[in-house]
Amino acid sequence: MNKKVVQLTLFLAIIASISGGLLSFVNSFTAPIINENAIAAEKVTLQLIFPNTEEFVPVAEFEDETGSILAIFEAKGAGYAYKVSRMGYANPIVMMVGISNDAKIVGLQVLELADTPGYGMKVGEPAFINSVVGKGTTDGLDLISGSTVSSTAAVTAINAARTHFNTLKGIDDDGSGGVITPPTPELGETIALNSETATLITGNITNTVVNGDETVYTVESNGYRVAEGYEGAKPNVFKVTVNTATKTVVSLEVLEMNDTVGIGDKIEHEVFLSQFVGLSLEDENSSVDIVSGSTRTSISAIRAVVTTIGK
Amino acid sequence: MSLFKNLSNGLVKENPVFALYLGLCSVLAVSNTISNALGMSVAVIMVLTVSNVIISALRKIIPSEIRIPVYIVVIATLVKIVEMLMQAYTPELYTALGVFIPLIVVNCIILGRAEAFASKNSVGASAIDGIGMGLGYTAGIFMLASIRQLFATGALSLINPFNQAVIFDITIIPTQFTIPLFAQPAGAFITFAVLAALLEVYKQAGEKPAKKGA
Repeated sequence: MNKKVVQLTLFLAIIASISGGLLSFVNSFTAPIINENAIAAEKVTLQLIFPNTEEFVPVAEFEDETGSILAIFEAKGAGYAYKVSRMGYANPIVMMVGISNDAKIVGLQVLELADTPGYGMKVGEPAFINSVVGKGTTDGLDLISGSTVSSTAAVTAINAARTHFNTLKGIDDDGSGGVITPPTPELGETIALNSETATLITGNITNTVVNGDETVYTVESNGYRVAEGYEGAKPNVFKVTVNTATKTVVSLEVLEMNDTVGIGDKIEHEVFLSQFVGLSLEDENSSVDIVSGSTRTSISAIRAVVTTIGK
Repeated sequence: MSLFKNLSNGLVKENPVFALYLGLCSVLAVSNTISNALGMSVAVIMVLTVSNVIISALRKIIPSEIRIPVYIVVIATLVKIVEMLMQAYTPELYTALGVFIPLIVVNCIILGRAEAFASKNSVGASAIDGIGMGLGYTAGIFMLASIRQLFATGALSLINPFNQAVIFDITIIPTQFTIPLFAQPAGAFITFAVLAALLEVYKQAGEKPAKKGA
């Protein structure tokens, strides 16, 4: 009985080793061709990122929890290139990210990008690419003001590549750099509180709470979507706190932002809202700068404040 | 059994696809274009013939207790070799066939022929049987693919898998009259059912006169 078992095991082992030998023989001459095929499609992009490297080897197996990494190529002696993809505002964004062996992002090539012109398409512009290239693998990346959704997608995809690289090289990412820093909106045109733009349409005060010298108004003010007649559009709602003794604004808060997500909500940034603190409602020279890229929503905030004058 | 009978057996009487209903998974899945169907057929013929030959040659030394694991190892090795060759030399075909190449391992035609024929017959007869069955598979999948591609795209075309050159591309039905359903799995099932029924009618018509004569 025992002899039989040994016999059978041996037979199977011999068959298996013959087949193993055959497979490794076939693999020895097909593997280089398969590698070449895998790289052929990406070779042009890879050489833009690593111009001095001739030999690229695809990394067949890798771990990526985010599902952003499509392919990884090792640039021999130089670093790694990651083909990453992430859903943008309207379409997937596909990029090739190059990370050198000294943990620096050395190249970013945008392969596919079809988001809103003027907003999401900024991901493909030199300003963004230059802000990414040169960063280390644990540095924070800046989003683009005006294209939060698209640039968040791009940064998430780049971070997936960096996470893989850091794990591979044993670089400890304490998370401080990987945190996505909220975009600082750029301020544009200055609008005076007594200008025609600010006073053309007034908001609608829905609630007033008097608390000593301070009065808190809840104001509805039509933003971009209401003005453009979007179906189901609702006005933006602001909480304006006014010191009735000094006639100055104590604070402006956004209670509801019903304009376009990723564009209108930039007015919620400190840079814009802090301009209202201490703003005199009686001074003819009082003015604030609107957020570039979300003009109409900014104006709705100014109108909300103007509405409280004289109430 | 004469050589010709042996060969034609797989084509009509025991056609693996339409008479034995074997290996349908890949038949239904890759019969969307003629190019894919023929690529798959070549892979199946190669694996089927070579595995039949190897198993027939080893039939006297394979212990019967472990014959199935041995068959599987032989078949899996051949499929892996075919897969690597396809990935290297016909990458587009490899991408188009996708998971159905490794699935040839569990294609019942191949294991079925190993167990039912190759393990009992001589090397030569097994080789002929492998080619015959492979051609039967090819005929089945080719018919299915021709009908599906014709109705779904209105054209019949064949692409050389080695360099992507178009060998022929004839438009027969204007595009506004095509039936996209045929490109879907449902279209594959419907076409398959009709073809299988037709073959059954043909086989029964052939049997009746023979019975009367006897």
